[in-house]
Formats: sequence, C-alpha cells, structure tokens
Amino acid sequence: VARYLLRKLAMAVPAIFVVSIAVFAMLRLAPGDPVSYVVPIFAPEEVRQQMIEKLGLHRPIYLQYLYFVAAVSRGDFGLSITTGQDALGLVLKRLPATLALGFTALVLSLVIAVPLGAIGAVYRNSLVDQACSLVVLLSMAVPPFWLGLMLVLVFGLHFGWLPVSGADSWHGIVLPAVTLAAGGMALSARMMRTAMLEVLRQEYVTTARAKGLHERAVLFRHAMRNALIPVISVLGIRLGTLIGGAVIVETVFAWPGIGWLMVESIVRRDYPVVQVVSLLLAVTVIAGNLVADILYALADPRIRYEDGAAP
Amino acid sequence: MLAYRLILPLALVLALTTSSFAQPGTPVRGGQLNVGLDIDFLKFDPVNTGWATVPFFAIYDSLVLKHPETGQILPHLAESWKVSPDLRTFMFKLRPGVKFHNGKPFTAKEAAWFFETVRDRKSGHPWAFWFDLESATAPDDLTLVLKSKQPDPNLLDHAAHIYSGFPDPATRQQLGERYGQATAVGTGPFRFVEWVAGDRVVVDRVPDYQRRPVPYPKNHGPAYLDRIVYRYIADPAQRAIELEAGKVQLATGLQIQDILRLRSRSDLDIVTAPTPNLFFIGTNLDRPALKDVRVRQAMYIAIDREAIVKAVFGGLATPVYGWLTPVDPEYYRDAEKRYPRRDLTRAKALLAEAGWKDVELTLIGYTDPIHKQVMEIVQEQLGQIGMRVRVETVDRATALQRRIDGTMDLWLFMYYSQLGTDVAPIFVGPSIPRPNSNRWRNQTAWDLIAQAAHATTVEERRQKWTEIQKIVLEEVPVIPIATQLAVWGVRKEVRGFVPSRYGALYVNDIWLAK
Repeated sequence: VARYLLRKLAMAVPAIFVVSIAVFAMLRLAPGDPVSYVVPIFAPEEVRQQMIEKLGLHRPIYLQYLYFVAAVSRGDFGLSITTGQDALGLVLKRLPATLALGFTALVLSLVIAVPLGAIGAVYRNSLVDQACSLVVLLSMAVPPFWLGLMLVLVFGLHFGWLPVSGADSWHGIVLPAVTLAAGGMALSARMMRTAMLEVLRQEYVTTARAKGLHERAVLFRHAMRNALIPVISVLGIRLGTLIGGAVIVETVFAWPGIGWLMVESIVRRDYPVVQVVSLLLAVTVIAGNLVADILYALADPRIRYEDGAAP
Repeated sequence: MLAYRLILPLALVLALTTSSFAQPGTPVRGGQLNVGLDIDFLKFDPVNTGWATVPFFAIYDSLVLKHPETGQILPHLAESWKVSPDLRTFMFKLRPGVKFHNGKPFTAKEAAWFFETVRDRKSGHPWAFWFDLESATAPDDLTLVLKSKQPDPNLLDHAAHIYSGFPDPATRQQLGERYGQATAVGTGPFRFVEWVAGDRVVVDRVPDYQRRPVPYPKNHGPAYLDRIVYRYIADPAQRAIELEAGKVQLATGLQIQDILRLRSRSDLDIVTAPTPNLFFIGTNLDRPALKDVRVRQAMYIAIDREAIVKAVFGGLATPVYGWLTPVDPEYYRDAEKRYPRRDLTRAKALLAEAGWKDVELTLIGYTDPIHKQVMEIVQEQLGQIGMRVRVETVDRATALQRRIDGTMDLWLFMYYSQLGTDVAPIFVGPSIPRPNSNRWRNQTAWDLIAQAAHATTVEERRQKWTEIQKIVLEEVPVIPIATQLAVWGVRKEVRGFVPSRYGALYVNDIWLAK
C-alpha cells in the first residue's frame, strides 16, 4: 500500500505543475491586470510603472513563472496584491470554513442519498420510486445559486429559523450545506439506486432470501453493503468537486471560505491568492482521488493493491 | 424588452413616495452597527489607494468637511481659515489637542507632511488636485499654510475630500507600502481594528474623541456606537436579504426589485439623496464610425433617458442631458433644451447625412445588473434608428483594459465626483488613452477646464463651465444618461443617519435605538 501511495504521489507532482502553469498563464493572458485595479486611472504613468516593476509584471511570462516556482520552493507564495497579506496565510485562514462546509454537505448528501436510492430500488417503478426520482431530478436540475436564494427567502427571511448568511453561528452552515449537498445528493442517490438494483439481482441475494433470512437482513446486510461500494468509491472525487463547487454557494451565503476568496481575487486580479487557491484545489482533487482508491479497497475486501497496478 | 414598460407604474409610485428621513429620539450609547456596502475595500491609505470607501470617514478626519445636505464647508480639524484674495494662499488654524489613534499628537507639522507628500505626482495619490500645490508649511503647531501655484477656488472642496484625511506619518513611514493594509491610523472618531480581505472592515469607537461644536455632525464628542462593521456584500440581492434579516442595519447599492419589496416592510426605510454621479456612455473617438459628430448627435437624441430612469432605476434617478449633473453648482440648465428629448426621425436623418454604414458597435459595461439593463435598453433604442450594437459585460479590470486598448466603441460608465474639473481628464486632454480613454482631443475645452479650475470668481468659473458644457453639447463626446440617487436601506433602530449628497458617511451622529 505504501509503495502504491508513493507512486500515486509521484504522479501527482507533474499534475500540480501542469495546473500551476495553466492557472499562471490564464491569469496573465486574461484581459485586465492588477495594476489597473490598484493604481487609480488618474495616477501618473510613472506610478503605474513603479507598480508593474514591483509586481514583476515587466518580465516575460515564463520568467515570472520561474520566479514564482523558485519562491514557492522556498515556501513563499507571495503577498496579496490588494491587501498586502501573506497569500498562503490568507487562504489557510479561510480553508477551515470551506472544509467544514464541504464535509457537512458531503455527509448530508450521503445521509439523504443512500436511503433515497435504496428505497427507490426496493420499490422500483412504484409511486414511491417515482417520488424519490422526482426529488433526485429536482435536486439535480435546480441551479445552486437559485436554490440558495430560495432557501434563504423561505427559512431565513420568512420563518426566520436560520441565518441568511455568514459563519457567525453553528447553524449558519445549514442552508449553504443543503444547497451544496443538493447536486451531489442527486448523483449519489442515482448511483445508489442503480447499484442496489444490480445487487438485488445477484444470486447471493436470492440465496439469502432462500435461506429464509428476514427481508430487512437481506437488504441491509447483503444488498446495501455491496451497493455502497461504488457510492463510497467516488466520495474522494466528490470531495474535490464539493470544495470547488463551494465557489458559488460561498458567494451566495457570504460564507468566508476559499471559494468566495477565489471569486473576489479573480475579479481583483490578485494573482498570488488565485494561484494559491488553485494549487490547493488541485491538491484536494488529487488527494480526493487517492482517498477514493483507498475507500474502494476498504469497502470491498476482494480489492487489493497489486504491485504496479491501480486497484 | 417590454419589461421596462411593465414596471413603469410601480416606478412612478416609488418615485413619488420617496421621501426625506426623520429619526426622532434621544441618542444612546453602545451597540454595533453593521453596514452592507456594494464596493469592496482597498488600501486604507488616503495618500495612495485605488479608491477610498466609507470607512475612511470613520478612521480619518480632514481639515474641513462638507455638510451632507447643503454642501456648506464646515470646520473639522481646522477651526478657522483665511484665504488670500488671489485664491493662492490658504491659512488654516488647527484645533489644539488632537491626537492620532496611537496617542501621537496631530499638529500642523503632520498636516503639512500630508500635503507635501500628496503634491508629489509619484506619491500615488489617486486624484490630481493636489499636484498644483506649491508648498505646505507649518509656521507653528496650530497653523498650516497651503500655497497653490495657481488660484484654486476648489481647494476647500478638495480639503473636505475623502482622500484628504490625515494618516499618522510615523506609522505610514514605518509600515511603508503595507500601510493601509496592515493597519490605518488616523484622527477620526473610530480606530481601525481589522480588515478581512473581501469581506469586512471593523472599527471601534475612540473614547476621547472631541471636536468643536459645528452644525454637522451634531455630536462633537465620542461616537455613540461602540463598533462599526462594514461588510462588502457583492450580490445586491444578498445585501437586501441581509438588511431584511437584520444582519446589516444600513445598506446601499440596492436593486430596484429589492427596493420595491423592502418598501413594504415596516421595520426599515428607504432613504435617498441626490448625488453628483453620472451614468453615461463614453465613445471611442478614434473609431472611424464615431468620428462624425452627426452620428454621436443621432445617438444622443435616440436614447430615451426617461424610460431608462423608470425601468432600471425605478424612478430613483434623474435623466441627464449635459456633462454635469443638476447637483453641481455649475450645471448648465439649458443643456436640456439643446436637443429634443427624443426624436427618432431626426436621429435617422442625422445618420443618413453622415452616410452611416451598417457597422456593428461594441458597447462594454460591467457585469452588474444595472449596467446590463441599461445596456440592453440602449441597444434596443439605438436599434430603432438602425444602429446595431453588440453588448458585452466584463469585469472592472477587463473594462479598464479595453478602454485603454481601445477595443470597444462605446463604454457605459458611472463616475462620481463633487467637481467636474476632477473627472474631466477621463474624457478630454492630452493624456490618451489613460485616463482620457474617450480620446476626445479638443484643446479649447481642455483649456477652458483649466481656466475654470483656477477662476478667481464664482461668475468667471460659472461662465467657463457654461462654455465647456456648450461645447460638449455640440461635440457629444459622451452621451449622458442619468444621475442616480444615493439609496440607503435603513433599519428602524438606526437613528441619526443623514444620507450625503457627496458620498460621505459620517458616523458620529448615528446611534442605535434599543
């Protein structure tokens, strides 16, 4: 397992490099620059030039990138152009909020998706199944920004049960987590339903029933456990998308995480902050994939890490 | 595109019911005010920042301040002043015993340092108005003398500007470029506590704050509020929701559809004030299609400003036909009579005379609901005279870049300034394309603006500005659309709030009813 993990980690390094180059180039090739943002339009040209040189933007892009890599290798991710704060520190300060939101949404989506998918499969083609499918369809179809606003209007404003924004209290996480969970929940529920239908057709399930096992035991002990394997195996991948997907939800709910920071930093062309967030997201996705592999093996004991091959 | 016609009745009702704001009661101390803003914060350094935001008014004091309703210049850190007849020498007597938030004394020496710093073009000061200063001296601790190279009738206005608050020179020198980011030290009624990037700024009351009693603010002692949290809430819908939920008690930059909803609530008020901001369409005069003045005149009379005001601004704006806004004392009232309000037949005739060919024009604006709506209506209205307009919404940085590069024909923009002189370089003058991205090369207008800026009498200044506005009306380098009212949503518990015509948010009179 250790060799497998090391091999995976080694493969992650070039992936992170590719992401860093892509983000670095895209930021600089996009119209607009941080200098125009922080230097007023009325400022004399010499002030503008001073800022360009200070930020190193007078150098060719490849040279800027090499300077960036050299600095990062020393642990220096640069200072935020607009706030002057350490870019890495700024991002790390916001990371716990995003992780909390991502994990809560993940757990929430599973708690809803697994029973929903299982019930749909057990009662397939019935009214219950159709009701479950409708919930899944709506969760998948409704855009997160709209769902977020609707939840705020109903539960935040109309009933006044939950905060409309921010992370000032523990229950402030409920609405953003529900919003973020919706899309993933739908995906997991569909996956669960399909896997459950597949498992229920397996011979060992028929055998269990033939042995006279109670239907509840058949479903929970034999069917669901195996049907969960594909659902669990994509959890790691979903963690990455959840954190990436938090960009919209965090903006809607003024949730002080890295997604919101990313949006604001892109608008401000705050290169160092965007670069740190992008790298962090890349690392999260890669780590998520790794976690998915491990979960896959844990969920199914038949799967072993073969030498030189992915599971 | 029928949307704006459908909203007219509502808009009309709204415009008619917009009223002044009364907040009775005896002030009480304490509490935290949360303010929702529509603009993000940037460096809190009056000497060098891209733009200043309302926390500046809490952290910094200036020599004088402008009454938010009358515009009268009032004493602030300067208790009195004398102006030489040639409008070149200004002697200020400063209030004794003033201290910075770190306990260091504020004297004429610190004030002179500020002016000596910002008169240097390399200081990074965002406005050019201090570049004409010849010297700033402090003969004694309480006397500040400013000498201008030329007569400067606007100096007191500029001294009241948000960018003319005094930072502590020692802290600024010590922190260098990090000043205004790591901390900000002024003499205002609140001290800087924290800036959470992209989110909020927190300031706390200065307990020993004392100023001379003046008509405004009424409270010349320590502020009533313990703390103010200024929050940048990017999404206007979210800003309105937070106001309704009471998470912010004061919010600006509200959309018309939210205002309609907020008005029906009994726990908050919508408060307005006229301001000297101008929504306009700038033209790239280097584009062959726009070089013929008849094309620009045709556009000017094809745009139905009143429809835009009603549809987009819900009546909380006024159509503008000239370069300056009606709030400006030099506003040329006959500007409204120069052209018919809207005349599509004449507009088409002007285009025909100019030999208009079917060229598609690109209009850029921000990714902001108001910009989008204005641009869509302009697109339709110009389409009615046979002009094809492609609308592109971009972020701020991209918009500025494209204005500089000239990769646009028309640009929707809103500027805010107390004085036309200050923003004129955006439209005219030798510095092309930055800041003159309009690329209007009219030497007569440019000279008149300089003359108006240094006119020694009110009459002379007014006459110059009238001439400038007449030229602008003939040449149509920009197409004015509307001036928007400052709109604030104010929860009932907030008292003592006065919306400013000049973009200020003085906080010393504000208190929270229990």
